[in-house]
Amino acid sequence: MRAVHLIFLLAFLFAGSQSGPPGEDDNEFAEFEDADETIHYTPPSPPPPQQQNKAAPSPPAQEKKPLANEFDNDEEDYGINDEQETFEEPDSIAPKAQEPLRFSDVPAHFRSNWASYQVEAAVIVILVLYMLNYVYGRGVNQGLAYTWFSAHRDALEQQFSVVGDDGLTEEPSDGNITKETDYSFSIWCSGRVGVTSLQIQMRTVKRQDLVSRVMGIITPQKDRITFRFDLDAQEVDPWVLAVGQRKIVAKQHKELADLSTYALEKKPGSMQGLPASWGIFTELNEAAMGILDPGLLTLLRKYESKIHSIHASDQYCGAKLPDGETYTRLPEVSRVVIITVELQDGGDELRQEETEILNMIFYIVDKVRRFRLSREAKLKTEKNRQAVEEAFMKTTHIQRQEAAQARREERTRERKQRILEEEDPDKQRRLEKMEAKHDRKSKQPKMKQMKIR
Amino acid sequence: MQPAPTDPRRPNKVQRYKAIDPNNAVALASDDPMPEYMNVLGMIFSMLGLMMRMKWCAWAALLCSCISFANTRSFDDTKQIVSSFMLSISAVVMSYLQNPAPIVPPWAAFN
Repeated sequence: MRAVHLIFLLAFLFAGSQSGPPGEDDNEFAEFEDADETIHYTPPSPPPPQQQNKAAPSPPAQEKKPLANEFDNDEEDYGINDEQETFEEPDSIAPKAQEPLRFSDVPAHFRSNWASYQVEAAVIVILVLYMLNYVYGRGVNQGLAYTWFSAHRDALEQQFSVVGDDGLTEEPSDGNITKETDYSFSIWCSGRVGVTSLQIQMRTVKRQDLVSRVMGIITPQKDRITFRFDLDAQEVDPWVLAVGQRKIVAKQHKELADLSTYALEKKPGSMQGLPASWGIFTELNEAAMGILDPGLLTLLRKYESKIHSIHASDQYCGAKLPDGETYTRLPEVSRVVIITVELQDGGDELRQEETEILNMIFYIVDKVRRFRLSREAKLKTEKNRQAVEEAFMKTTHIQRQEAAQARREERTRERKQRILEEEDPDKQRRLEKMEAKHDRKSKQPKMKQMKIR
Repeated sequence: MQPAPTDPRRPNKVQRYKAIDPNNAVALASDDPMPEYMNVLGMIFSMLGLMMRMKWCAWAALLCSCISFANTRSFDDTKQIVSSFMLSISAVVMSYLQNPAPIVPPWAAFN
């Protein structure tokens, strides 16, 4: 019985020792076990928030110290001491590692932060306003052009057999306005006595561009319509004339090649019976007096502010070349009458005025066609044109010489190349002989030969 | 039927309209160079906006594209305008994808 009691007591003690702290039972196996498994006191929970880590390093360390003291007496607890040391180290390192960390400013999400996008909102508002203005301005400009055309189409159709050709169909078409830009429109008319063609170009203010509108507040611009008549070659005597509002005509005189070359006589408008604010640039006084008859002068004085300029020329070739540049060949010239008038929008009264101006324009064109210079005047103008041509020839003489020399050298080089490439020896010999003869001839001094008959 | 003696019309003398050749539009370009200038300026601003990550440059590029579009000629290549718009829009989008923060307004300094 006592033996049984002793066995039970031993068994009970053995079971009790199994449930005790694992450190005591597992000491023998400590070296075979992982460090983490033997630890029961709670380490700081990974990953701890860094702020909390700064506050928390001391309590866990303090907690560990008493626990460490319990196990200090146990010499076999190597693992635990090491683990405690390693656990202390991360805590001591952790505060140091946290210092260099910086918090970046993460911006709030778009949707939660609309109010701070003020500059973006302003730019978007400007863009929307710009596009609205574009649509509105384009509509106004188109309205101006189309209204003018519909009001004066009949008058044009009485003068031209084709009004409003677009050049796209096989047969000439009618009634088309060509839209070059959102502020520039053109109408092509053809089929008239003495006139090859008429191009009506309407240049409105750039209402569709908000930037131009703002600039227009500082320097106001006006809508204008330009009639360019190309006359038949034999219709016009050679002379050049420009008359109109002084500023506009002076600017044309500076910019256009024919006016700056030929129209050297400058007069104020009042001398010819024109309005005081007008000016004349002409090659011949006789032409100015012949064109500007009393009836025309009355009309010009009546529409002084509406008519910008009248330019008639047989040497029109566009704008002058910028300084430093010269023509390589004489530019092509055309016989033109170019009249620029203000374009306005309005009611019946304005349309009547425009009709009167249109009739006046056709009158001027027919006058220019029929006007004939006196013999002396014609000789003078022909002399002017010859002088210009000779001056051009002189300035380009050197260039032409160089070009001729280059051409000659090119021809010689080609001949020599042909000789070298020739495979047939007979032909080659013949070509070489010809080349030698040619060289001898060119080396001889050039003498004029007189033919005796 | 012959036209009346005072009738100036001559149907046998008709000359057709020749539209301006888009390839030879140099003369017109010199007349009004605004669309070309705005195109180039728009491209420069787009590049600055994309590479230097400057948001205001990207917005300026968009504005330049709009001005170029408003001043363009009918016979100009529409591809150029469309590509200019696409480039400026991509500059704006890329700038905000990289950094969604708003542009600091100049009046913020006074607040």
